Amino acid sequence: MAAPNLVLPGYSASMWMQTGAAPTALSTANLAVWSAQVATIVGTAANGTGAAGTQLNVEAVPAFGQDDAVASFMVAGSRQSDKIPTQSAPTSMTISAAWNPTDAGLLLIRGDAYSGVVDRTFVVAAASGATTIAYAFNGRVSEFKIDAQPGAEAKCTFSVHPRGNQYGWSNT
Amino acid sequence: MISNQLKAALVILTTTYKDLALTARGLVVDAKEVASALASATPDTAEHVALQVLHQQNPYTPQKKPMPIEE
Repeated sequence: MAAPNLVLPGYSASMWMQTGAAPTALSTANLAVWSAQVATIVGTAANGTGAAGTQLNVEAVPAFGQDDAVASFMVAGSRQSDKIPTQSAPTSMTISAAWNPTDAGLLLIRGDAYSGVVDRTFVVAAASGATTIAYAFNGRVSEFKIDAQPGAEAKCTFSVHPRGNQYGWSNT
Repeated sequence: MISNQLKAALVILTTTYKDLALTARGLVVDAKEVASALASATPDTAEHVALQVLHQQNPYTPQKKPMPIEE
């Protein structure tokens, strides 16, 4: 098997997370292993097994990856300064979901946010037919809020802050 | 069969939550052994990921035999 070999539509991405109130997050090496590791968190809809994960029913998967970090150097008399990339931090994800108070995933997110010290493995999986590419990372949850505006459905918003260096790419 | 030194390095790399490259930089391994183990490792396993990182930090180039000098 391989990763999808085409330009993916945005809606092909789905978000998954480990189950359990006190999960053991995957190690850094295992975050880059599909078989028996990341695949257990991803559901069958995205070619995983779903044995140890549940889907996070989000409105849209936010941008994920790195923030920018650069050191600029200036020398008097030089026409241009120099920019050198330094340690990019993982980008934090602000997520919005339709609020179902009984949704299993959102209940785990609520517990994580109130704890503040739960490290959980999340996976963004993009599937095309029988092939899937997955970005797995360990993160903590914060800023859990419910927005109950009268003119729309109630929304649950929260932030996931990935832990530095704890990420991996894998595919079927 | 791999040496106990490489086995210990693999255990550290497959269980750590730290940056793999930074961790591998501090591990002492035999570059030739790492290259050999990587060639026979099963892809899509934690050991394969760890061996790839060790190989990046400890590149191995086979030594060429010197050409005989003709007199």
